[in-house]
Amino acid sequence: MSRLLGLRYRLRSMLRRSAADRETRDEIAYHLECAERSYVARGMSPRDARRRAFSELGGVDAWREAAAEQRTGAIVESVWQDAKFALRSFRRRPGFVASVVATLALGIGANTAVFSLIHAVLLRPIGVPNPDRLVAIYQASSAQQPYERSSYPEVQDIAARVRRLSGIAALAPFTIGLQTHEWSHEARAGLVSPNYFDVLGIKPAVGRFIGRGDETSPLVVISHAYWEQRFRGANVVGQRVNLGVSPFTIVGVGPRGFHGTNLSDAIDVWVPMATNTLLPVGGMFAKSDLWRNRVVPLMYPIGRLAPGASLVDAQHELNAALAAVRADNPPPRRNARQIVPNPLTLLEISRAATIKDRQGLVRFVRITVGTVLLTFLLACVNVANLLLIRGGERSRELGVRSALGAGAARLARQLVVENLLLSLLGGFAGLVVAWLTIRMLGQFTLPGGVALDHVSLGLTGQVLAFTIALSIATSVFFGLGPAWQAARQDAMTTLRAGGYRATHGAPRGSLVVVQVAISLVLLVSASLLLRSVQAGWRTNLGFDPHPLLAMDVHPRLLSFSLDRTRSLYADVLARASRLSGVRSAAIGTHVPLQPTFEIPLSEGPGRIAGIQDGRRVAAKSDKTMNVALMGATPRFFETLGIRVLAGRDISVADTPQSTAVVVINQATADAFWPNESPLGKQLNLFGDDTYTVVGVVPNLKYATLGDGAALGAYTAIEQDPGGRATIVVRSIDPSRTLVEMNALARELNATVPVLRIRRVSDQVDAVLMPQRFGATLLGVFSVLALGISAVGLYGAVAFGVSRRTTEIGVRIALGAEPRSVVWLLMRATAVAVGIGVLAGTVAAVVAGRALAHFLFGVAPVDPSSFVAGIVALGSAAMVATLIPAWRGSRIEPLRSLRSD
Amino acid sequence: MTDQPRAQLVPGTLEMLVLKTLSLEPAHGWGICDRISQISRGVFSVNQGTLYPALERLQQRGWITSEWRTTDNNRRARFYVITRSGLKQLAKERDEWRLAASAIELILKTV
Repeated sequence: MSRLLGLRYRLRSMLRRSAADRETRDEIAYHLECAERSYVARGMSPRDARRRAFSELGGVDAWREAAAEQRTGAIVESVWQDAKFALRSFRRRPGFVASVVATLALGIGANTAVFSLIHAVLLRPIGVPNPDRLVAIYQASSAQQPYERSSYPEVQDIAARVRRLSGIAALAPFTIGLQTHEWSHEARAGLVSPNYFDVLGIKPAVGRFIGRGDETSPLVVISHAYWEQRFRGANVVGQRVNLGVSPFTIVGVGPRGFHGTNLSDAIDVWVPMATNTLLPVGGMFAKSDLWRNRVVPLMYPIGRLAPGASLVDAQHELNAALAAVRADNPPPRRNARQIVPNPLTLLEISRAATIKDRQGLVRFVRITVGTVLLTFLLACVNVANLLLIRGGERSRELGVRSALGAGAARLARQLVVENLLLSLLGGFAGLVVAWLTIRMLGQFTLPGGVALDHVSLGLTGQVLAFTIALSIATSVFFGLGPAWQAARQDAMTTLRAGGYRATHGAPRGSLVVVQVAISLVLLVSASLLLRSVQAGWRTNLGFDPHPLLAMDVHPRLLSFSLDRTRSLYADVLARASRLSGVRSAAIGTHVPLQPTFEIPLSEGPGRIAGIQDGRRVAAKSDKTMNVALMGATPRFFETLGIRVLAGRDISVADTPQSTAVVVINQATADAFWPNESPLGKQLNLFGDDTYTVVGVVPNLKYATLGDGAALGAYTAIEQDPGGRATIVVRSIDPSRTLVEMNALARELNATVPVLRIRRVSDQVDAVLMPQRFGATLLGVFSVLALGISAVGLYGAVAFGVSRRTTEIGVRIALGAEPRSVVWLLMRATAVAVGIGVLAGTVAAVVAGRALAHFLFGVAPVDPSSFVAGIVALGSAAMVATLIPAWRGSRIEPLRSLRSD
Repeated sequence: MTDQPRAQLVPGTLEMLVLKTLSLEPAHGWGICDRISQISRGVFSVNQGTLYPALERLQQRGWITSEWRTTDNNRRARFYVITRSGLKQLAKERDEWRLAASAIELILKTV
């Protein structure tokens, strides 16, 4: 009972602090009044009576505070006091607080943003049960390309022979136009083997999945997200949609959160594997019977490990099975890849989920994480430095408070509360920085085609937890050092020493070294990437992208007939030529720097010698090479500004009725016919179609700027209309033409999907993405790092100056030259900077090596990058140390002596 | 002002004396001081600086409560009222005190 009453009283007074305070005040007033009256009654003068009343009551504030402390519970109250005190002291030192908060914001913000990125790209679950038992199976096509597809018959033969995988499914992704009676959309689709959903072990959210017995039926399963976004969650089972022109029936909706097993390639709809014949999917799909074709590998197999089986064992078993399958089915052509099976690689699906260019992605993530960790380390070092300096400056304050009776624990608690507050401020600012950084990241696409605006990059609960944990860790770690020193220090010694504890210079000196070294590494790395971007821009692409604009149309997505496609192209070309500023217009299946398919071309005429086991067998293929194959209309080269070296351009005379022609680039000519003219020679594709070489053009950069002399060939679009086409125009006024082109696209959209209107020069940007991303990230961070380091250096020197005020005064009074005083004050820091630059240079050489993959046209040890970094850092350091030192040297001797 | 003998309050007895005073009738802070010195015939005077923290402690333990009342001369003042558990505590402290006091007396009496 009494405890309950007491508790209620405490609660009430805690909740009603101000009311309780007022009551206390009233009570005191009344008490004083009574006392006064009583003393007057005993014969004292009113004035004496009041004085006596006051003095008897004792320190009013003291007991009021004591009462209050008992009332609300001592800890809460005094921590609150500490916090208030801390905020007051922050207000006195805005510069210090701003530096610490900005530093923490940078470190924590960058970390949080990058953690979000990694979480979104690498850690996000794919929405299947036991994803850790799922494996992706890749077949190497060469040492450089270890993650390639397999053919379905081979996958099935292997599946029949292995025991350590309980099932192997397969998927082939492609893009298709999906049309309802209301809208049409470019959808990402997957042809899947009948056991696909079984192997994944998922259940449909609505309706059913496609499985055995559905192999050739025009049925489609849509993803949950696609269902919600496009069909608005309506009842779709039984609904007919067109894929291309073929009607398909929706039978079910996948589970929420499942978009296929590849995070970088979200699938919207799944269709049975053998329906590829119904679909207007171009290129190799059209020419392949996915069930039987062993030659063209088109499927991505996914396996589920049998209970108890290990990844390594399963991989051994798979490779043994592959060898046996190859022995039973010798490949028809003398292609090294198919005679000697390249090893299959198993990867956990969670790790494989982002592979297309896995190594690129991993390198990229590593570099990003490295940058961020370096920045975070720098931030921590700087905060430690600032706190140590601040701790030194506060020795006197702490000494006074200790002398006035504050216990060591109390002082330590005060410091911890202060640091906690600082890091919370920093953490909050860091969230803002993270949010901004994430928005910036959303504009980029990672290697492997992981477009960041597709992966939901957001601040998730986990990320928030990560940030809070980071800020608390920072506070505890860096709060404890100074707090420990404060708790230990002897008040009297400090006061006698003039308020400055004799701090050891060594830890601060080494902090400066670390800061300078890290800043230099970041600066040099940023400079290397920046120079790569510049070099990329200076690269000879083989053409000038600046006057060029491009626009994609996808008639194949809506299954236009060849005739309709041809007339569409003619119409679009005519209209594009009439846009103002346009000097020349043409259509190509790709413009350079847009990724193309590499397709095996063989020398000689194509002829089908016969069909064996469902495989087409070419009559003759002496020489086969992978060539980037593109279609083009007449004037394509003229529009790009490429001159024909030999023979002729593709002309209007090249029609479906005339001989199939091909224009090859110099590299292809040299590869097939090194010592003779290629004109009039023949090439064939898959042994089917024969093309006669009519012209030779210079080499271009087809996919990346690093391409050496890549092989390339151009067929006549008119003879072989592709599934997609890019209209490219050369304009004397690209900005104006761009506006008109957008209007044209809106008109065309009624009949055909028009995608991606752009400047071709933007594609150079796209190709340089990793370098630009790195240069942006590192550039921003290195400039901030430079700022942070400068603040740190300034603080270090300024602290030295204030600590040595008396000494400086004496020296000046004794006639020391200002210059020698300046040097005296900055000497220690300058030496530390020098050591830091040396250490940083060595570290930057290592960092440059790590970046080598992303460098382009710049050596990892690029002298000018190093010089630039050192000069930038050196001048910042010089200014940061000179200013406080110079100020120190201007001390008035007399004032400095009196100041203590 | 007055030449009668005065003594320091025996340490640790303030709370008991406050409880005793309040067991007679509710009183405000000054009233408590006044009553203690009255009843002790001016021997004890309460250190006013320690009275209010003691009242806080007693309230927190639930032995007394307080309420605002109007005094005889029509002023609002905080009156302290002993609770039932306060009465129990008073009885307990009184017994302890008596035991201790008689023991001390015994020792002092020994010649």
